Amino acid sequence: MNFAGLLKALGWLTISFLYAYIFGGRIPYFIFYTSLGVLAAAFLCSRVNSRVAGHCYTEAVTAQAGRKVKVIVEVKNNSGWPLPWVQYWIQMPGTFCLPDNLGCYTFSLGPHEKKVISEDLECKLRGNYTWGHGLIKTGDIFGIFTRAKQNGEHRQITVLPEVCDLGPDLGVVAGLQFGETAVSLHTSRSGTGYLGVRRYDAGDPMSRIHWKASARTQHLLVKEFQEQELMEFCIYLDLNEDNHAGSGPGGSLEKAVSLAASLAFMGMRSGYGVGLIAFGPERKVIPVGYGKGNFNLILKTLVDIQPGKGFNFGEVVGHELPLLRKNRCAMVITGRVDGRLAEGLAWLKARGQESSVFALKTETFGSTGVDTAEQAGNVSRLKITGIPVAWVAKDSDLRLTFRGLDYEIG
Amino acid sequence: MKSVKREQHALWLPLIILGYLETLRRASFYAFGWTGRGQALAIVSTIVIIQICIDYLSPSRFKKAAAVVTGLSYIGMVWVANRSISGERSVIGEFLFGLPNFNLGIITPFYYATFCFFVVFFYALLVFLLTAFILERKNVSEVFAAGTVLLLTEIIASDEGIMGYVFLNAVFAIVLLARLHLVQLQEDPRVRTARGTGINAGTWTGAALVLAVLIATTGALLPSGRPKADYASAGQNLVQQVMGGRAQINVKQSEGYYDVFWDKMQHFKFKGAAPVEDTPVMYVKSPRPGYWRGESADFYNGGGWEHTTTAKQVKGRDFDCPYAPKVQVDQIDQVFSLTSGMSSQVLFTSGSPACVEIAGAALSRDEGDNIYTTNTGPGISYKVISYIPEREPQKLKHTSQEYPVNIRSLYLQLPDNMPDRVRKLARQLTRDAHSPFDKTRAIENYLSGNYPYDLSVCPPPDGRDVVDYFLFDLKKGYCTYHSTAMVVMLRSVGIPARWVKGFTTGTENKETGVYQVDMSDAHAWVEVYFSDYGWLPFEPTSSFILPGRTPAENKPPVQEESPASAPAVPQVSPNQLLQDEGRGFPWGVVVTVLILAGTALAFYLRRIKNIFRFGSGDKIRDTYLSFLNLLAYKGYPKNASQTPMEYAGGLADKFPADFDDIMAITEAYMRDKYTGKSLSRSEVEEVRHIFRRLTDKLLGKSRD
Repeated sequence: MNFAGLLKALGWLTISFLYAYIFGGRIPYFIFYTSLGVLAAAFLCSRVNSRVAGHCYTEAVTAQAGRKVKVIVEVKNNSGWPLPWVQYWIQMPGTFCLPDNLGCYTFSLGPHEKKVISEDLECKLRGNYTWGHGLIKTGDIFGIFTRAKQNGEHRQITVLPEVCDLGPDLGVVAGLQFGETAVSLHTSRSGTGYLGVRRYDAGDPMSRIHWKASARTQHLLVKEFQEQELMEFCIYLDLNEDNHAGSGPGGSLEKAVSLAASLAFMGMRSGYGVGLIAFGPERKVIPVGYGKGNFNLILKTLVDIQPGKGFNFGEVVGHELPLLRKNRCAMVITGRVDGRLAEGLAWLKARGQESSVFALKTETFGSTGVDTAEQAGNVSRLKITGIPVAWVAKDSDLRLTFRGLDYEIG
Repeated sequence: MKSVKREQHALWLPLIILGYLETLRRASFYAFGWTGRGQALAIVSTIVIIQICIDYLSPSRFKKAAAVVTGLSYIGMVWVANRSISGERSVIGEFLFGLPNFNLGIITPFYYATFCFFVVFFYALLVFLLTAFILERKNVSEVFAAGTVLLLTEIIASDEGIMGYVFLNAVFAIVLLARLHLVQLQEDPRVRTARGTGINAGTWTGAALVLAVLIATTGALLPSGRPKADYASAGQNLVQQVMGGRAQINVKQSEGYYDVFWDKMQHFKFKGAAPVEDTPVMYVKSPRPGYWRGESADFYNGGGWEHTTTAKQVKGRDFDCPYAPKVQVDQIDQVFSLTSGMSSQVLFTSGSPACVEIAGAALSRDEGDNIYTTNTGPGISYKVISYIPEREPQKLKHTSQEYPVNIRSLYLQLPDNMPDRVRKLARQLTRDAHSPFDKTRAIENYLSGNYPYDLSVCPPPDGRDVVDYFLFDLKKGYCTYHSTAMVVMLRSVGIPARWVKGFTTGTENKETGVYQVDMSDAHAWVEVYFSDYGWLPFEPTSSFILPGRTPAENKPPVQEESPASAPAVPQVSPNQLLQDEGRGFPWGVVVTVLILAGTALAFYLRRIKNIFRFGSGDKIRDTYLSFLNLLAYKGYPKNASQTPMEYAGGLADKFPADFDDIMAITEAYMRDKYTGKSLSRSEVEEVRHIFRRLTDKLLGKSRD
């Protein structure tokens, strides 16, 4: 109950009563009776408006940044009186970036009416969020008396980073020539990939005979396999706060995380092995793995990572790169290409390992202290060594980047 | 979408604010006069409001200073201009007021154009600014505070006739409060707009309007106490003292009677039987018959009349027409010759004088339209050209009830101790009349039709109000009683009227066209003031017909009772009328409304009995509903499509340890609801015990 409103009402009632009592006459009493009537009606209306219950939830407990999720609010009026106004204040998850992280739905309810309101809200930030605590406010039609009731239970929602479809493969970014694939095939008598059947040659083992096909064709046929050398790469993600700019959904960090997730998704879909090392307050490592399970693991890790300070990304990566296995590529995502990083990557290239750099143009994210000359120098060095560098600006479309339309390469 | 809806909801605000302001404006005019001071107050209030709004919306020290200086200067000029010659509005005052009279009865094209300009430009600007101010402040407290102060001032300055405006103001204020609240609910930037959201602002504003009208109507009908202070009169005195324009009032307490020597009347007291004398008083040459007006009295003290206005010397002999331009006015010439031995300070006229020709005398005139002469020699003659207004009932029926302050202050006066039943009788007689003219005719016809003419009546007892005595006890009398009663009753219903005495037409000599007026022709009648018309005479005395009335106005002839015969009983007794009045507390209406409301409430309670669970005593159902609420709180609400058993079964894996309790509660509910047998008390208690145990357990657990 709004006690301030109650006190104001009582004050006005007292004044009008004294006016009527002291002066008498039709008009003073009219003012008193009318005030009494209005306040009584408002008070009764607010008292009976307390039987409202509601709760809210999302259509899914997992969403992805950049996509919409449906928020559903259900409110029921359990009384037989119509409610002129109901305000349902809900503590919303921070991913929606609403003012004060609060959403308010205002509506009227009829007697015993149940209202279901749904709204598609865009998830702008990744993370794990707890939300759902609510406050239902009702009152009289004049706004004199209001009542508020805590409502709702806590809900959870996980917003995964935005994943863009980068295309069928890494393309030229991975150092492959146009038309080349990342898969090299050698036919062999044994191998991981079934290639097909061929006619029996002398010396083929009996175990390789495809009896069914042979029976059908009345010729002896043997199975042939291929050995596949699939590509593996590891994503090195820079979480140094000093190397990033901006905040929230428009910041360079979110762009970097989205890029990492997109790379992992593309790798998973293409059958590549993907690993992740995120350099932040804690070093988070996901070993190179295959399949959807590994991808989900990477995503879950990317959900929670936060930037940190106190380390030099170039140095730590420089220490990590030599540990990379020979058949693996390195994909570095950073906001600052420093000399130490360039050295490490050059060393890797000398060893015959491919790598790519995705450099974030932090000045487009609002950074003002960028040493573009140093960066340019280091990028030139990488170009000379044949390491591709793709610039990612705030408004870069990652899909176009991988189509070769929006990047610079040495 | 959100801004469009907000604009739609705010659209009605200017209309409601216009209504609120309009009631205040009209109340101002009613309280302080339709022209002059009323307009001045309205203009000052408008300047203040505009200054506040502009200052808030676009603060500027210069603007604030300019508005304050303008307002104070205007107030000062109005005050100075009003303290002019009493009874006259100065030229400067006319210029400053400068607004047309809003009474539609006299609108000319020029006035109409000015009126439209004022309304469209000035008023619309005011409403627009005030709406923006209220929306920006998100609060009407300041507006309501100022409006309340203004309304209280107007209530003090007027009588209970302002009740209608107070009623409307209250209704508009309540509706404005509701509408603004509903608009502001959706103003917060955090309010989301989605399908299904939005308040039915139009419907609920309509509901607020209905509720406001009901509450205000009930408040107006409920009993109220008598006014404990005549602050209306005190307020008017204060206004007059501040604004000036009122002459010094000298009241002489000397008595005056009908006499051979016609002195200026100061006081008139009622007597018993009236003597009849046939002594000629004067001869009147006039082209048409008429009543020969002597002088009027304005102050009724309960026992008689007093003449309180002071005559001022007039320059020249010509007088302006006192009637409104729309009234067709004739002028007739009359010559009055007093008989030898008769002298008079009062000059008689047929109507309001246009010109007076009298030799060697100074003339003076007072606010009661009475003309006096210093030539009091016996047997004088003088010529008067009188204004004779048309009596057009259709025009008279369309006059308003707004009167100038000077008219109201003089001719609405009534003594404090006047018995209330006189007022009630007047209200009862005029309850079906809608215009002042109809009310006047109703009272006139009532008196002339129910109170026979009788010259031999007993004088009123000492201390007794004459009108009350005449109406409820005497029930017969002669002209002074009838005319006094009519004046008092008209004043009690808010119509200005004055008592006039003079002579009736007299005996006509058709050869010479001269009327011989005797002392027995002495008579008293009533003059009533109509807005935008002027003063018109009326004749409430039975058996008398006012010369010059239109056929439509003529009363049916009444048989005059001879003094010797017993007077007839009035056809309609005033006590009967009061009993039929029913103006006391409307118990019948209130009881009916209460019964209807109580029936509706009982129906609703019965219908929603299950929801409120009023005395349902269904503990098992209550327990099960509480059980559902508990599990919904824990995050496992029951779907509408699930049966109780399906729902319970689905909880098996979530609450394996408590599944037995869950099933026990569910099964008890199913048995109670679907089988014909109720559970025993012990079984009910057991189920409730199980539920309490489950509640303690679940609420102590953290959610997984």
